[in-house]
Amino acid sequence: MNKLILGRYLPGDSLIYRLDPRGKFLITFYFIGIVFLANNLVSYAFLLLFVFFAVYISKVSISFFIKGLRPMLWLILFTVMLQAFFTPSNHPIWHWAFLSLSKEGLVIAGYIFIRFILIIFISTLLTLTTTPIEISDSIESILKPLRVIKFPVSQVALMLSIALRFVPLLIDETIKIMDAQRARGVDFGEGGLIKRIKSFVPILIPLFVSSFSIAYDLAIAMESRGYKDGEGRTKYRILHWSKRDNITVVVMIAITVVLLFLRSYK
Amino acid sequence: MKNIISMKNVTYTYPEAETHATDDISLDIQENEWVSIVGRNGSGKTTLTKLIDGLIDCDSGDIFIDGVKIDEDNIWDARKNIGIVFQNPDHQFVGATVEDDVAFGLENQGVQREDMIKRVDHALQMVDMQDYKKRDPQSLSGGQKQRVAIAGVLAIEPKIIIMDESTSMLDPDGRRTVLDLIQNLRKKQSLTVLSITHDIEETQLSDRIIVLKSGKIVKDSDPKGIYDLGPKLIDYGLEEPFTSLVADGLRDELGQEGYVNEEGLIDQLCKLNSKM
Repeated sequence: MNKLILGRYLPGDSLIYRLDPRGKFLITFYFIGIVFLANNLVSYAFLLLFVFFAVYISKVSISFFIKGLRPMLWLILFTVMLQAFFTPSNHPIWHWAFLSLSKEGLVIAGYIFIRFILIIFISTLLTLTTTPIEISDSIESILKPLRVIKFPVSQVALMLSIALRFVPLLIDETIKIMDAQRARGVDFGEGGLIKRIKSFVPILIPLFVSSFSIAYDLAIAMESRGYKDGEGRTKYRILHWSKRDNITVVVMIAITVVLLFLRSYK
Repeated sequence: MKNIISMKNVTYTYPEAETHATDDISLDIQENEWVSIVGRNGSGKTTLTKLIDGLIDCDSGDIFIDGVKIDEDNIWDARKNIGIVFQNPDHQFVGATVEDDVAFGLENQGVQREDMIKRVDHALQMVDMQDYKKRDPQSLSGGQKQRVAIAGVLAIEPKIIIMDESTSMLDPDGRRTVLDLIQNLRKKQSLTVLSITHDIEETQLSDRIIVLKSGKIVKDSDPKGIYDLGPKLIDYGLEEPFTSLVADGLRDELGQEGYVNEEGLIDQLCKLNSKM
């Protein structure tokens, strides 16, 4: 489980860490959107430059980002191959049966590859520098307008933060149950696919039972501490939108303008 | 002295249970008292505390907290006077970090943020956890988590703290720090403590012990009165105090009948030593 970099927070301190999580969250999605505006080598190079600059000022070692790519590697390769071999072209450099390789295909495959790198790096940057609780706070803040249509925003946010808080506890619980079942002779790594899936049933059922009992305990504890229905609650954690967040927004606008300009550049 | 908790003929039966969980219990607890509630598993201890906090409604009888009879309308006000520390430290940690968890009860009461920051800091100082403010629960030991839970309770400034086997999942060190903390708090401020426990040492710290059996109060006295029961304590889910076991073993030499506390025992052993 330690291998998964995507979605993990890495404690640290730099400008990127100090940005308002709401801003970071929205900018990440905005950037993923504008990645699709790029259409030629210069514009892709420009975006790559921007992402590497962001990685550089985050002071997070680049190796974390490379590791973040690893679980996605097969998906990336598969997509790139698909683009390279199946792009229709009138001047193939090489072809065999239904496969053909052309200059256009290779270029598009290269673009797709860069797109993957951009999107994975920028979202890894968000999760590495933002704590889960900050992300859940920003979701609450972004969804706030939905209160108008009676959407229970603060309840959903509390649910999210409790869910995040209990992930490590449930992982511990799973390990405990697995050990208990192993002690009784269950072998999780043996047999065919069906047998392996079946051997997870004796983990899942106790896990469900214990998570319900944890939920019950937690509900009692929350009620005893005066949690009613989320009405009239004040907030201890607040988010600060500061000057540097404004600057980041300006930078993003500038990038969009440059990108639009580079699009028509031949 | 004023009664902070008063129960009159309280009966509660769990749905589909054949016997009463609490059977016609009447009980008065005075302000600033430390009361231990003991008894075997299933004797109704936890039910009793849930009734006091209004987490379950009694079938018959009345409960008064700080002179006010609790009902559905004022239970949320009554809860502001009561803080409960539960058994499992992990199952009551709501916040993502220590400070968030301490603030949870204050957020529920709608306390203003500036006030909240002061009260969270003060509560963490009282339990000596201010250095851990930003930490997440995974990085804390069981004893530290229980101290955070106590801080969360203290932040709402309750008159009553209920400890529902709060020390039973801790190692001896963690248990010691939690009990020392409660003792020190009671020196500084008025605080009624209601503690459910199986730990004989913990009961020695209290002013009064109530023994429950099958939902009924079978004994209610100061610790000495309970320890004098000797081997019969096992029936009530308690072990004999260590001092009683020593005194019992040396009965011929010491001639001690009934319970003796630690100081008394040391005294007698010294006398015995000088005689030899």
